Amino acid sequence: MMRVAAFEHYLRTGRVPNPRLDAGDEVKFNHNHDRLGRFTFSGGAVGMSRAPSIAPPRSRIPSTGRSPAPQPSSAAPRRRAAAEIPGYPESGRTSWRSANDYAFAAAANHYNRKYNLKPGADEYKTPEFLKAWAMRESGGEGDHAAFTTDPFQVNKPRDWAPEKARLGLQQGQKMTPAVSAYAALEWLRQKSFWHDGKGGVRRLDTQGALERYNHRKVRSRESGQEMHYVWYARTIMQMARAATAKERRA
Amino acid sequence: MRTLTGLDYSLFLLLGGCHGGDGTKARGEAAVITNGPCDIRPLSKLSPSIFLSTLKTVKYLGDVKTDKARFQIYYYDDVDIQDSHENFRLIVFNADCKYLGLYVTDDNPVRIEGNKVIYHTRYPGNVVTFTGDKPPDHIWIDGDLPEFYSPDRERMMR
Repeated sequence: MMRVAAFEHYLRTGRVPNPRLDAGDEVKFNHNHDRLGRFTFSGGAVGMSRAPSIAPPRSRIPSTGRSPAPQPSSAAPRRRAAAEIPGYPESGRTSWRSANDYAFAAAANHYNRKYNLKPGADEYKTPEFLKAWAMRESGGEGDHAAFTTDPFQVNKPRDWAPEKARLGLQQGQKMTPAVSAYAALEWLRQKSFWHDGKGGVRRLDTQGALERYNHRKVRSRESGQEMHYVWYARTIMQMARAATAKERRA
Repeated sequence: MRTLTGLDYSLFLLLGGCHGGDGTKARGEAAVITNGPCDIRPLSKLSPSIFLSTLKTVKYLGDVKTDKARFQIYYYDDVDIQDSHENFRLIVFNADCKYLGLYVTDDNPVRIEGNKVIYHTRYPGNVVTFTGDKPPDHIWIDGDLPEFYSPDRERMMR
């Protein structure tokens, strides 16, 4: 629980309490880590360590005078931090769509641990859910800058509401994908509670909470005949399910 | 000197004077502001969560009377074209058009009946009842319990 609290403190404030820093030591910060805590580069590649699937050096392969037969790799294929969302390719000009995968995985993991959620529970969040949601918010081809700063568009400078301060946000705060994901999940959780006016509270499922998160009660260009908030929630859930199913098949 | 009203301000915007509260020009966007008794121009300075320059609607709904006071009710609705987020505010002035504060809601009100502001909502809670000499601290709208934010309180929440 201490680690959850420390991580949440970091997400809310951008600062990690550190006795070394307090003593005046200087340390270098690398924000790119994988799920095992290893340093990575921004694209997710692990540096300073060798992945188990890398072939042994050529000098160790006995020379037979001909090319060795391909050896089956004993290592399991490396699972992505968050599967690609169907309809949102991550190659070429839009390769940036995978840039937040580790942030989404970390935010989902943090949320599930904080609220003690197990796989199968409706409120359990997967990286694919977060990624599908972010695609709906800022995954369009021209949205690169938004996606890499505030992928959930939770704290746009001209979209401020005082309730956001309760999530630890400040007006005009410089956003990062990690803070955006954390705040969006907490805001969604708030939206999942609806009050009956007599002190009672009911919980909505994730799709219902997403509808209230968007709450745009008109038919839009994107939603066609559906109300925008219904289309918004339905398509995010569908995209997340499709991405998870595709990843399982792979 | 006559005070500039909401209608004057909408004319000001239509004539091309559409500038944001931060001094930026909002090109290609318009504000719809219907007539009302109060000068709404200072709102973007009084409330950090109201921006009058972009695709916003600020409409005068009417006045609410209690046994001790009268309040002027406006509502504000804006849609961000880029991400389709929609923001709603219920804005409260006193009878002398002094801005008192706002509620952040998930919908627009539809009418006033006596001391009540009426909403159409999906979830329970569709009436804001005003009593006494100040707006209620909390209201119950669409299953939410929005708080009242005076300008001072809203500034504290930044």
